[in-house]
Amino acid sequence: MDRRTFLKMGAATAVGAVGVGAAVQRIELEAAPLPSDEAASSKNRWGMVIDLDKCARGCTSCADACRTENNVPFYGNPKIDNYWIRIVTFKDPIPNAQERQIPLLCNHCEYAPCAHVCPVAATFKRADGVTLVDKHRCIGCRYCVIACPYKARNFVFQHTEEWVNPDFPKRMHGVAEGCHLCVHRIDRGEQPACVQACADAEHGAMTFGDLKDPSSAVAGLVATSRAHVLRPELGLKPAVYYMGL
Amino acid sequence: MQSTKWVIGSLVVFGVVLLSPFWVNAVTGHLTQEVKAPHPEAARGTECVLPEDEMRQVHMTMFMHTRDNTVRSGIRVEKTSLKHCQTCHPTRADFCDQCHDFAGVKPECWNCHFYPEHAGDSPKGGHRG
Repeated sequence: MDRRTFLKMGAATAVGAVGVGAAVQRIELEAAPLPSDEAASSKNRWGMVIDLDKCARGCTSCADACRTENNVPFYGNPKIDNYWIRIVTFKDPIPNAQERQIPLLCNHCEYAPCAHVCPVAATFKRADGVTLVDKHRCIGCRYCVIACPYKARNFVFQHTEEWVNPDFPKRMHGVAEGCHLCVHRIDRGEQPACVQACADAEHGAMTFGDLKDPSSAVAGLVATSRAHVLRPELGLKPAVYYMGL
Repeated sequence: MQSTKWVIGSLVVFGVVLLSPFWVNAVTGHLTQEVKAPHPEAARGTECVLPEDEMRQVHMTMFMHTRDNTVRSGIRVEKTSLKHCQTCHPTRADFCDQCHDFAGVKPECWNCHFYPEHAGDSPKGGHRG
């Protein structure tokens, strides 16, 4: 399948989902949308909990929705393909273990190594904990790509030609990019595209919300003993938690 | 002075090469071509976010300010955004490009942001410059 077909299929799926969508309830963010003239505040800390027991094997809804929402092309060429959400399969080293999959995205670390190494402050932490790349400022040095312990950073090798979602910008080649928790949707009071897609696919493995709000669903899940971050030994305090690891 | 003819010959060749832009433009007719003053299309709305003169001078600064605020702080003031321009100036070729082409500037906004180049343009493509 070439990338044109892939993107067309993605767009068709999105349109189809909207068509079916009257039945599918849109999940709203628990927090109110950010007023347009107000800056993001450190009162919030956006985070996500992914329940791997609910994550269906072979399902790529979240990754597909991410590509459609954020205009991330798929070329089918591993040298230049970018993944804002990477579906990684793994298997426990025990007898009869089943192969499982884990959606791996930017973990939005509190002490983000990517932001720390960026020589031009293009990668930065927004006040509400979202790690962003200011693509206007990025010089494409790829320090952040190397610094990220989760391999969640990508370098744009080729200018994006397709424009599936005109509401969101494309990228020129030569900048770094990665998951931004659909910050444009959060500010509108919506859930990130992947979380919405996971709910639409009726898996509900992804929960998104404000980690600083003790009454939020995501904070409740993080408080349980099942929620773990990846590579906790690094002490980066990620905002993406996994259950059932 | 046996080399005189070589020196003069070289100077003539040098002059021809030096002035080559003029020759090229004379042959292609660009020298006599009349320069067209920009004619931006009249706006669909009644009032711009700033007075017209001020807008001509400071729109780039305003966009940069808005851009930094939006990207880095999440302040999404729609009034001064690129998208808001499109409500009164729907096509890029009749608005932005008019003056930018005249002045020979190539802003990189449209490499990544969407602004229909011609009426009815789909968002696909749109890469320019």
